[in-house]
Amino acid sequence: MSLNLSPCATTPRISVRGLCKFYPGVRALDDVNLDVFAGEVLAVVGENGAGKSTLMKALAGSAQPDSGQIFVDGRIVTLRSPAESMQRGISLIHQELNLSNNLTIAENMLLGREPNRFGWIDRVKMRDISHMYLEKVGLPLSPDTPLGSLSVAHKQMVEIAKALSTRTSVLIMDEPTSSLSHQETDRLFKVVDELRRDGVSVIYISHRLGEVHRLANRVEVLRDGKNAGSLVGDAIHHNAMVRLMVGRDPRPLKKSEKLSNLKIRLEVDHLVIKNRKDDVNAPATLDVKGGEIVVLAGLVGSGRSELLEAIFGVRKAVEGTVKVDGHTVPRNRVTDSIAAGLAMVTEDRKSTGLLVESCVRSNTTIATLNDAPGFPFIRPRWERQQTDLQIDALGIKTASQQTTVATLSGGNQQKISIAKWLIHSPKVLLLDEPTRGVDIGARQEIYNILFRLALENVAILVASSDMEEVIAIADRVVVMHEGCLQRILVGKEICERNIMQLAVGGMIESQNNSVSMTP
Amino acid sequence: MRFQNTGIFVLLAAIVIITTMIQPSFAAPANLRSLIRDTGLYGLISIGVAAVIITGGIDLSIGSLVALSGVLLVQVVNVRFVDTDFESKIVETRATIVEPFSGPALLLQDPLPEIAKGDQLTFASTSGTSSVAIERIVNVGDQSFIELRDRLQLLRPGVPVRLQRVVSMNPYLACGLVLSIAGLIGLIHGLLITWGNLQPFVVTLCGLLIYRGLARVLTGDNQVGLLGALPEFKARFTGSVFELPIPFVARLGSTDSRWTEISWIEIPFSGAILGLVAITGWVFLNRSVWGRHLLATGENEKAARYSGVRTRSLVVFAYVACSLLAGLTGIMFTLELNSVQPGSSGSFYELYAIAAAVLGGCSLRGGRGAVLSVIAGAAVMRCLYKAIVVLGISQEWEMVIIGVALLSAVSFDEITLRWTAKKRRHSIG
Repeated sequence: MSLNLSPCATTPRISVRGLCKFYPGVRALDDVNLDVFAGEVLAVVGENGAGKSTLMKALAGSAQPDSGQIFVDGRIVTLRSPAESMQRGISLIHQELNLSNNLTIAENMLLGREPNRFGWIDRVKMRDISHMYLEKVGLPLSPDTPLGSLSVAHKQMVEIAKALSTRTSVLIMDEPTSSLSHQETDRLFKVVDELRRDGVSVIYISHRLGEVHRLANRVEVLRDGKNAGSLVGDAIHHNAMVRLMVGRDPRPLKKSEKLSNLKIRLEVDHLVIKNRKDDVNAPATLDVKGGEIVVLAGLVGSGRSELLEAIFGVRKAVEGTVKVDGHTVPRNRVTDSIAAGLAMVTEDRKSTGLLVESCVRSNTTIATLNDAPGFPFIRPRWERQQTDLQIDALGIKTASQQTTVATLSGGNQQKISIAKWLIHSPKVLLLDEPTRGVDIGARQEIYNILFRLALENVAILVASSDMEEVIAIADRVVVMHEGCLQRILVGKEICERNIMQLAVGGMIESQNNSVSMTP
Repeated sequence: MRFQNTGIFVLLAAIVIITTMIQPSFAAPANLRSLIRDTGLYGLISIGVAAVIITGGIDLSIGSLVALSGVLLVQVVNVRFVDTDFESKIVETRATIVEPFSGPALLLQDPLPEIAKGDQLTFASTSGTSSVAIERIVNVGDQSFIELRDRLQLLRPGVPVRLQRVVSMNPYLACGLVLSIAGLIGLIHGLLITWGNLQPFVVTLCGLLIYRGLARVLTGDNQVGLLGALPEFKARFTGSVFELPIPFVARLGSTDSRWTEISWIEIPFSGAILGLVAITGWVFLNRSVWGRHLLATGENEKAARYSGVRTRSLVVFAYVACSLLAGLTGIMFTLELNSVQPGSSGSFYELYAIAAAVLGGCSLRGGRGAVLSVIAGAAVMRCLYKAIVVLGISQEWEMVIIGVALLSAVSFDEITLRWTAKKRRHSIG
């Protein structure tokens, strides 16, 4: 494949030739080539396990390739540690930010490189330096702000400013928008554009092909540790990328069948929730019918997760009721909610969804042990059978039931966090960002699982910030803004423009078939 | 789950075998019995603290609670002597009566009424009133001799004596009361930690100070004990429950030259209780829903709660179990030693227990733990202690050796863990 389709035909800033990296049983990188030129945004895409992370680790100095060469500005280099990479101007911004919440912005930015005078930290200089780089990324905050008080988006900006302050010429961004709202993503893109104009090369790793389409000058696709092809300029299309990533044509996402005569299964009536500022939100009222997928859309911080948590009973509701199949669910206790037929797949698998250090089997059964036969004892055979059933039904790829969950891919982990609720067929399934950190192939499988559950008459309520996902799976969309349900969109109203308009607090033209939210 | 910590069993076997090879008396039945007894006592508090450690917490109050329960037991049982109407004069004293009975004995003018073990005779002496404990009545011909526990000394024919009866509370009731108090203390710990949201370290550190202090206040900082009262009760708790046949030790301990000889080792009460607690604990942790929930709570409290686990109740339960076992151990230590030193009894026991739990594979971060290997951990510590005694190493080295052993075991564990983690990382790419 051609690697010379660069915007400028000068020496590439980074050049990777024939890079190989083997792990026992796996060829993580197999003869990979890559060029990065000054002032371009190069997107590297591929499914999980395609080798993106390993390649980036090799560039950032945190993994050593087994063979092949890396050139920086035309000269061959060995990058033995992140520090050596940084010296050569390569910085990696991790998906999970590497910042300390207890320090201020300035302290974080200059950590380990504090300007000093006679051994004492020169705070004035520190502030000045940080201020300069904060301005560069368009973050109007004081350098003395404690980092812990910042939103994820702002923290990311700090991380970028930090990278710039080390005279970075190649910035690697790993899934930078996975926890950003639409607005914040826009701001990030502006910063990336500016960096490009300043001659910085950006290597952009993302699962969100829409973003890649919008941002990248070039796309390099990896599949199974090999170069699968590259796309330049106008050739960068969603379908073209997916074709290279999965090696076949993308399947349609849409739910095919629809049930008629749907009955309301979940009723949320005037639920009042405490929000982050210890204030109460406006009462929320909505319902979900069996067989229906309702999506809560909105910006990050619009209260979608909080609403789901309150419905599930892990967040305190001040007043209001939740009914499942007409029966009121006792409030504020998870065990009662589960008994009533509610289930919730949380946003953050690591902290609330799964016991990542435990095995597949105990994760699959943890939520149903209380109703399992033989209580209070666990019947090993029952446990094995149930786990096997779920592994088959959801297509979970795992070496064995005793495999530690942490070693599985994001998609398989997500399937397990869904599977654990399916043993006792839930009536209502709540999902918060169901495909976060899940690659394209597994994403489709998860949608198929949801569609199948819908056909089994489960009421499904999803919170999602992925616009493609919202549009692909929703029967109805409820848009939230600052803790309030703005409006319900159905049918043709479900489009990106309407959702965005409502999400930022605006209004849309009323259509005949729209349903008003105000009770 | 797959990770079973076998290292500790290997270490235990190694210590036993090496020590026996150097000094065969290590495997003598009497020594083994006392090893089992000590392992029983320390093993109980180790299992208790392991339950707490699995939840990600810690209990530093165990040693103080051991002392406090001992003091409470003594005070609740409240052994005291009550005067009776029976007065008489000594007719005759003997240094010993008929063989094989060798205790000193005396004959009174009037026949004694029915007596119980622990009753005593008082008499006037130069230092006021003295007393001497009655062992039992021995009939020689038609004369009823009173065998005494102490020497005769001031007792001569003609000295008037008075019978005092020993009075105490029902000891089983007293044990129940002490255990309820220990359980209540655990409940308070648990509630402060879960609903009060206080840190386990802080809560139980305060407990360590408070219970030790209370033990000293209640006794005026004096050693207290059950004296000669309640011999049957004490015998039950300190005696042997049954005998276990164990092969090879006779040969190892050089009491017999044949490998086929089987020795019968007496299992003391504490060993039997440990066995019972261990079986219950194992079933609870590995086969019950609550055990699974306990491990889940320790690994990730939030994820467990989101899965419908009553995490708070489980944490409270763990602290109650820990304090109950500490209370039980306190009772057994008191009966074993027959006295409590409120200022020093049980000191450092919490650290021994934590060390045993860590040796047994419990992670202080929570979520990982086992029962049998924790007992092995307690056994390792007791064996090391005994080995030091048997091998004639001076006692000052005890803590150094135990500390070094613990450190090496934990480092070894960490290295293997890192090694397996590396292998795991590589295999997923």
